[in-house]
Amino acid sequence: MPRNLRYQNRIELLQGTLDLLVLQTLRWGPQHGYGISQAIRNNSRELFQVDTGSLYPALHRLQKQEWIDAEWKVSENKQRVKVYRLTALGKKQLASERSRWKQLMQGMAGILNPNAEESKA
Amino acid sequence: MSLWDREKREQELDEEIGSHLRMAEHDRMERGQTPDEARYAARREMGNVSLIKEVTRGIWGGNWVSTMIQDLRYGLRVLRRNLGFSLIAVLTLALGISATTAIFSVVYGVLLRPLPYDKPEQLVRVWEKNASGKRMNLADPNFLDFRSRNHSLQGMASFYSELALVSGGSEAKRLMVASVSSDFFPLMRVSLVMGRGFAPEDQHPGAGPVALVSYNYWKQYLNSTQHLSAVKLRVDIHSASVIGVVQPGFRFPEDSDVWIPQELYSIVPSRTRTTPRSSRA
Repeated sequence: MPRNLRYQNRIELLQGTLDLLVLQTLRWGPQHGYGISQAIRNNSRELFQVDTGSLYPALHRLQKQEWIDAEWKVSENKQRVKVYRLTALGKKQLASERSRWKQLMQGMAGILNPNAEESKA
Repeated sequence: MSLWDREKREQELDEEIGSHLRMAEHDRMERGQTPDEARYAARREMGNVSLIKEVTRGIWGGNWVSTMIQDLRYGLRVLRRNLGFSLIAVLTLALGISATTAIFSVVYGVLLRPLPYDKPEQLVRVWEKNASGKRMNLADPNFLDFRSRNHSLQGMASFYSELALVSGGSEAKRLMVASVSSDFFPLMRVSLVMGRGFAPEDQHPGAGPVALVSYNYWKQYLNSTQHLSAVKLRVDIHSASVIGVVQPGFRFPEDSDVWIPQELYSIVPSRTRTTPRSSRA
């Protein structure tokens, strides 16, 4: 199953960030898979194109971890859609991932721009 | 997760991805694409649907039963698609297995199966040699001398076998009949399935003639009867009552099916001279 592996590798590469992106997107309210992918795309100014092959496995994984919850609803177009919602556990996870991401950015900034750090000190 | 739950989840995943595609199509059409363009683009953007489903199912985690069933189904489909290849593979396997089995059963019978005697490594056969170096059977007086002066062997017994017409069972048959000396069965340490072995009284000339039969003979020609006393065998011109059945597999010497005390045959003088002897260390 080499093709399958390729997909899973891609998930792993994105895993940290994709989880954060999904949780952050759901903070604005319940949303279905397609909506989540569109929101990430729009909010990143079309920089991030979420791969559907990564999104659905990620959604199901987050649901298994009980960070998000799902229920079936009928959309405006009278379609049955599966809508995901952030849970209390998911909100905590989002907070910790945000602070981790912040640390990562600070660390990266320090390495990429050492002079800026020194001048501050 | 039960199989039923899994089927439901499977359906929901289909529906979820289906609705994703429809929404993507819808958006594209609103942006002015034709329905065909929209459908094609949405599908291309989605990628390999069955692969996405497979990876997502993998996230649900280990229902190894349904995974195995899927693998089995897949295997069967592939086999059915390549019928010629499958047939050749099956035939090859069948040939391989049967050849191995056949060879093993021969090797087992010839080399591996233990002899149906207790401590076969302690059994020896004693011969005399004539002047030209040819083996010959022990003469009776020599055997008696050997036995009485024996210190090296636990005991010595003699046997002789020949084809004889045996009747009295379900059908008359020419079988190997062995006449054996009194200590033959104790020396070979053969056990009986039923009945009794030869007693000293049976060995005296003029005693009521008795016989032991092989397990095979008992099964095949005596219908595994439990009433041995009712069975009267005729061995050539002699009649004998069956007193016991020998353990399965024991048919020494020379695939014998009936054993009688040697002394019974000693009535016929010509036969005593040619009796071969067996001995046990």
